[in-house]
Formats: sequence, C-alpha cells, structure tokens
Amino acid sequence: MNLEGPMTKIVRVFSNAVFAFALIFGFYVVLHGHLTPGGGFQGGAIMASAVALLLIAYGADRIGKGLKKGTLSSMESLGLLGFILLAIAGIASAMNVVFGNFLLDNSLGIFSEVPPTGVNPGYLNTAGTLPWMSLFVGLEVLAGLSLIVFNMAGGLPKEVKSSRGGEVK
Amino acid sequence: MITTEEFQTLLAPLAVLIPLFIAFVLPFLKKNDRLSHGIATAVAVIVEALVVYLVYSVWDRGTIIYVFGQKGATTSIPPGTGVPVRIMFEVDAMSSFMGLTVATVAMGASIYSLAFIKKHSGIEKYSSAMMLMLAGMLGLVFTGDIFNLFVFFEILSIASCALVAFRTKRWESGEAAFKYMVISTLGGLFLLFAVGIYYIQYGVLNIAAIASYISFTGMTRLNMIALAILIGVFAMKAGGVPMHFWTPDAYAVAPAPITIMLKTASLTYLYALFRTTFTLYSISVDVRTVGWIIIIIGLLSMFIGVTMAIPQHDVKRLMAYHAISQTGYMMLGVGVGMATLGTAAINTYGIKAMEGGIFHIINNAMYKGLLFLTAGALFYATGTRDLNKMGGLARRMPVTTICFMIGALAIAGIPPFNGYASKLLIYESVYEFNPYLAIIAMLVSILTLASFVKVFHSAFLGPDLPKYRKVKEVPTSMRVGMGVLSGIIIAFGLVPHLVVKYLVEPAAIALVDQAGYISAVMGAAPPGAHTAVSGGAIEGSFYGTLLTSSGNWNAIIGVIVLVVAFFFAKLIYSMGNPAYNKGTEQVKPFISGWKESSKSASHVRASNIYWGFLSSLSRYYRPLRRTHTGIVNDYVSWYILVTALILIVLTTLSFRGGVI
Amino acid sequence: MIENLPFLMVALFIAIGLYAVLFKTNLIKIVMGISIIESAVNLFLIAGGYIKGGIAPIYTSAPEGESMVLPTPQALTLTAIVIGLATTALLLSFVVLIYRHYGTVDSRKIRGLRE
Repeated sequence: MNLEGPMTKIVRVFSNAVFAFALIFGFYVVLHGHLTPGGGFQGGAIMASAVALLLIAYGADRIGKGLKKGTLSSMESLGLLGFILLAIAGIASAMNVVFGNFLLDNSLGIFSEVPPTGVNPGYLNTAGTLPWMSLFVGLEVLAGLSLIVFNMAGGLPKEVKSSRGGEVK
Repeated sequence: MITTEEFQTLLAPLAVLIPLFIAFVLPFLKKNDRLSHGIATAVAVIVEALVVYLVYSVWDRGTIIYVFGQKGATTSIPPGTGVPVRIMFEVDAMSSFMGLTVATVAMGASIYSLAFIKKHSGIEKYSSAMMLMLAGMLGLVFTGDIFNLFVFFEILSIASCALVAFRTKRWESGEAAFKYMVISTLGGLFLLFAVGIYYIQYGVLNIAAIASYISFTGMTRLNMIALAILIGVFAMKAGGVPMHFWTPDAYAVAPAPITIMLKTASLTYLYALFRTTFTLYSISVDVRTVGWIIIIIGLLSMFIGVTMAIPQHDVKRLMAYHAISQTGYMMLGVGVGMATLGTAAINTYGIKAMEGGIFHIINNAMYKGLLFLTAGALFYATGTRDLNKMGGLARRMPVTTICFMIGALAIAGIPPFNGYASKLLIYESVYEFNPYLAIIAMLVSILTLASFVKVFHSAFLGPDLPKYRKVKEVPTSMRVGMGVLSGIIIAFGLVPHLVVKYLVEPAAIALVDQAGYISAVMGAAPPGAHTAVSGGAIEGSFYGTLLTSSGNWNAIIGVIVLVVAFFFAKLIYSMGNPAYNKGTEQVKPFISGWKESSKSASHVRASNIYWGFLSSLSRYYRPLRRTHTGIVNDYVSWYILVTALILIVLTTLSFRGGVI
Repeated sequence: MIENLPFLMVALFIAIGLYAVLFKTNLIKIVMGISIIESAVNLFLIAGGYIKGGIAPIYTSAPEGESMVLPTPQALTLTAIVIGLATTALLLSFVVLIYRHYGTVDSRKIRGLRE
C-alpha cells in the first residue's frame, strides 16, 4: 500500500462525499456557537479534519497543487486579526471596556438581542459579538490545523542529512 | 476624550493587547521582513513608555484593577452575584515593578536584534514570536485570575520554545527546544491540575477571592497539594536546582536576544512563585516550612549553579549556569522574608531581605541581559561560542569589552555597580536570620567573580591570534542595545537609595500586604489576612546613603573614593622612571629562558585556566557532572522527584518554634 | 464510592502518562505520555464540575424551574484542549527536526548537549 500517493477509487469517491458534509456540519457548529454546544474551535476542528481526510485520500502532492502558496497562512492571520480587532473595538464603543459586548443593544438590529431561555428553535440573530468571534476563531482554526497537517504530511525529506558535527560551531 | 484616570486604568490591558495585535499583523509582511523587525522595535519602545507611566500611576493611586467585559471596567463584583466572576487584571506595585523589568529588557533585546538577526531568514516569524513573548510576559505579571495565569504561562512557553529552535539548520536547536518543551508542558499541566483543585473547592478563579477563602478555611489537605504543585512548577521554570537541567541547553542554543527574553521569562515565573506564597497563602501556611523550602532551593541553585559554571567552555552555557546561580540569590532573599512573615522580625530584617531579593531581580535582568548580549556579539563577530578558540578580542572590539567588564563587575557584586547594592541588602539581612546562609552567599559571589575572570581572559585578553585579524566591532544597533543596559546598570549603581525608595520598597510592601490585594477586588479584607508592614528607614542622613538592616552604603562617596585613589596611584606612577625601552628585546615575553614560539602555541585556553581547582575537587565534580546526563527522561524525573519531596515535607514536617 | 470513580481514573491516567514520559526512550512515546496526562487533567476538571441535580447550561434546551450549572469547567477544559493541541503539534515538529539531524529518535542517543 502506497502511503504517499492517492488511495484506491472507493476511498476517493467516499471521501469526496464526506468532505462536503463535514464542511457543512463544521460550519453549522461554528455558526450556532452561542446557542448550542460548540463554537469556534470545535467547528474549526471538524472542518480541518475534513481537509485532513481529503489529504489522506489524495496524497499531499495533489492537494498542495490546488492551493496557492500563502492562502492558508493569510486566512489564519485574518481570523486572528478579526478577533483581536473586535476585542479592541470594545474600548471605543459605548461599553468602554476591552472585550465588551458592544453589539448587544445597538440600534441596527444586527445580533442585538439576548438569546431566549427555554426550549426554542434557536434564533441566530442574537448575542452581540459572540457569533462574530466564533466565526473568526473557526476560520483561524481551520486554516491553522490544515497548515499543520500539510506541513507534517510533506515535511519529512526523502533522505536524512545530518549536520551533527560533534563540536560546538 | 478620555480622562487621565480612565487612561491610567487602561494602561495594563493596552500594554498586553498592542504586542498581541502586532504579533498577528507581522506574518503578513513576508516580503519585507526587515520592516517587520522595525515595527516590533517601535512597539517595544511604546510598551516601555506605557509601563513606565503605569509604574507612576500605581505609585500615585494604589492598586489598579481592570475587569474585562464589564461596562466601566472597574466594578470587580457584578451586582447580583457575590463573587468576582470576570477575568481581571490587577496591577499592584510588585506587578508594575516586574512589568518595568520585562519591558526594559524587551526594548534592549529588540534594538539589539535589528542588526543581529539580519543574517537569518524568516525574520517576520522571529519578530512575531518575540511580540508574543512580550505579551505573554506582561500578561503573566499583570493578571489577577489564576486560570488567566495558566493561559499566559502556556503562551509564553510555546512562543519561547519556538524561538529557541529558531536556527533550524544547527543540530542543537531541535534537541534543546524539545527538552525545554517537554518539561515546560508537563509543568503547565500540573499547574492546570492545581487550578482545578482551587476551582473544585471554592468555585472561583480570581486570585484575590481564592486568597480570602483560603485565609478563612485554612490549610486543607487539598490546599497543601496545590501549594506543593505550584512551588514545584514555578521553581522549575525559574531555574531552581535540581530541576534546572533544561536551562543551560535552552539558553545556550537560542539567539542572544532571545536568551535574555528567556531569562526575563524565568524572572516572571519567580514572580508567580512569590505571588502564590505571599498572596494566595501568606500566614495560613506554616511560614517557616515554606520559607525554608524556598531558601534551600535557593541555596542549592546558588552553589551548584556556580560550581557547574567553572568547568564550562561554551560561553553562553557558562552564563546560563550563572543565571541559575543568581536566581538562587533572589530566592534566598525573598525566602528569608517569607520565613519571617507574621512574626516581629518582618519589620526589621525580613522586609530588608525582601527588598534585597526584589532589587536583585531588576539588577539581574539588566546585567545578565548585558552579559548575554556581549556573548551574542562575540558569536556574531567570530562565529563560535567556544572559549577555547577565542582570544585577544579586546583589541578589535573595545565597546564589547567595556560592556562585558561592566556586566562582569556588576554580577560579581563589586562596588559601585548595582549588583553590590542588592547583594549587600541580601547579605546583611540574611546574616541576621542565619549566619551560615550569608557565608555561603559570599562564597558563591567569589566563585562568580572567578569564572568571569576566566571568560574575560580567554575571550578578550591574550595574544593577537591570526584568525581573528579581520574581526570588526559589532554594528551600531547592537552597541546601542548593550549601551542602554549598561547605562541603567551604572545609573542604578550610583543612586541605589532612590531606586529602593521609589521602586523596590513599594513592591516589597505590596507583596507582603495580602489584605490590600484582597480588598482591592473584594472590597474588604478577611480578618485572617496579613496586613501591611511599614518598611524600615531607607535613606541615611547624608545624601545618597542606602541603609540596610545593620549597615549602610553610599555609592557616591564610594565613587569619589575610587576616583581619588586612582589619581593618587597615577601620581605615584608618574613619579617613577620607566627604565625600559619600548620595542626592543626588553619587552618581549620569554618562557623559561626560551623565546616565545608562535602566538597560537602559547595561547592559554579557557579549559586550562582552572584545571588545578577542578582536578583537586574531582571527587565533588565527577558525580555532579555525571548527573547532568542530557537525557530528557532524567530531566523530568528530577522534576517529579522534587515535587513529591516538597509535598512530603509540607504534609508531614513543620518547624514549630525553635531556631534552625 | 461511585462518585469517586472519575478521580481514581484521573490518578490512574496520570500514573500511566508519567510512566510513559519517565521510562520510555522513544521520543514519540514521550509525546504520547504527555497527551495522556493532558487528557487526565481535562477529566479532572470536568469531573470536579459535577453538581447533583443541575442542568446543562444551554439556553435553547433549558426546562422551566431548574437551575443550570456554571459553564466554567467546560470553558476551562476547552481552553486546555486547545493549548494541548498546540503543544502537541509543536512537540511533534521538534521530533521531526531532531530526526532530520540525528537520524534516530532514541532519547539515550540524543545527548549532544550534556553536563
């Protein structure tokens, strides 16, 4: 069994199907972070495991050709920047404090209510800055974990060169 | 806009958030990576300015708290609940003192790195990780919430491990980084276990709230376990013997500016140790036992650190062992303060010992930073860290030589530099506690000077070796970085009384004052908490005199005496008649009557300098050097052993009365 | 006795993890030992957050008249899992780096920096 290249046809077909479902499920978990268990990290990890599944099925070379060089790194930095900008924006707003939930009662009506307690179908348009933070964290975790998995899959060189000289250089 | 008071409250979170924000922006600058380090240096200077203003605000207003997510940011207990629920930053005088140390060293390291890092690639990752380290260190000293302490602990460990392995092409980077990371992660997991113990017992995570509950319920079995774990973790990360094995590896392998950030990170873990013993537990625990544990760890660190430093021939490894030894001084001073907590002695020599230990923290950060930067300059110029290969570099690198001399004299405790002032405070206070400790401390100081004489001779003095003919002085930004630190060393040495009066004594008093820390958050202090002590007199009658508990020291008179003595010596010297002619056979060196062979053959190398001392003490040295195996399992087993030992000591023994 | 069972399992897992870190010489087994200890500490945090008669702190499924538990242990454990992920990833990349230079992952042979 060749672990470097693509796997057999059955695996590839099935992983194509599962990839789409897993991405959508991960996005659902991220989006409902303020209502159900889950949120940014959990959903991001589900999405990244979908990417890892595709990586195993097709091999690192094939997937690496599909991505541009700095895409994942930029996505990761964008997610982090969005999170920290939302935190700092709390200072300038009416709440006047870092990490303040300043979208909670604004007049535009975006994410401006408190989620109702009790058994209800779940209203997405609630809870202030929390869904935004979940989205940014989900983006960042997806990019970060995929980057780690890609680097580890293609990272080991074919032969081992040792530069151990034996004395302090 | 915003008032001064609001801005002063906002300083501590800003000092953490700005480096964090810049750390996330910098990876975008992959093409133009010189610019990335320029931005990082600018941020380090801004953070230094913010922290200096924060020190002034805390001195002016008292403890400042900042509650995240709470409208108005100063209401610590939300209405309707009875406990502080949100994460908060609580900055008292000790935290702002540590923040000043961290920010100054980071500024020196960033300026130094402008030229040092030019030969490497991937500079934007270096700058980003350095900003993460700065944010982690500042967050750790400013936080008032124990789980937030764990999060910043892990941020700092991960960023520093990544930077230790920065030079991936060298064989030693991965090994040192792996060893550091294994023991660091294990320590972090035990810290989380202790946080879990506190949460399960009391239901709050705020340090002040936990402290008030502990002073109410006293020491249960679980609290003792948590104390043992916390002392073990923080002493290990600060470099306390016998858990110190990762320190020489990590400090030697990292690039020089990162080594001084790592050293300052060890000092922040030392601060966290003091925070748990003085603020979380204070007099609920048997202070003599805990104080003696810290004193014994400090003694071992001092002694074993300096004796392992003497046989080294790698210059940064030697300095790393000295870093361990100096950490022992701080633990000794503050441990004596802990052992006298709650008794009458805290007012006389206890607070002075603590002032000595805390003053030593900032002095140590400055002169150790300077020494590591000079070692980095040697590496930049010659390409090697091995003292056996270096020689005669004082001709080519005069600025580095002078900076090294200032650093070496300061670390050995020679007047009038700042090391002498803090060591004098420690010696005189510890002598009143137990004379043997002071004698060991002085012996260690002598050995410190001995090993730095070795480094100075083998690197800077000596013959003019042919392979170093083309070595030039280091670039300007590296000289500026070293110059900043040496300027602060000389300034603190000339006016130690001002530094102690305005910076160190408020910090020592704030550390002992558990009631003040708790009441800043909870509104009132519980009856069992330790209240404030008044510090003893600091300034003598003559301007510039620093009073210790049984003596005094005036740096300005010391400098005047030295200058006058120097002039007298020069006068007597010039009255003589030099009866030799330069450039003739009279001044050439001869070895036992024979003319000297080539300069390289008669070069006394570093390993030859103390061979007599080492071989006569080989019965002590051989088992000691065999203990430092280099296997990562041994590092971890020492750590687990010492934690278990501290746990056994705390639960069974306790010194009740009597004098040790 | 049945309520103490999670804490006994925590002690057992920490012992197993410490055995792997202290006595196994393959670097990857050391990393696995650290991962086991991390799972044990997460179990400790969750098991300690149990309140008899409490309801899970989810707004959209909370029945009337019951009291929710605090979501703090879940938040602590989540943060600890994320941190554990980052440290495991970094540790494994250091193992890859060591393998590239030494050619082995036996901790008794990786002793270049000693005494």
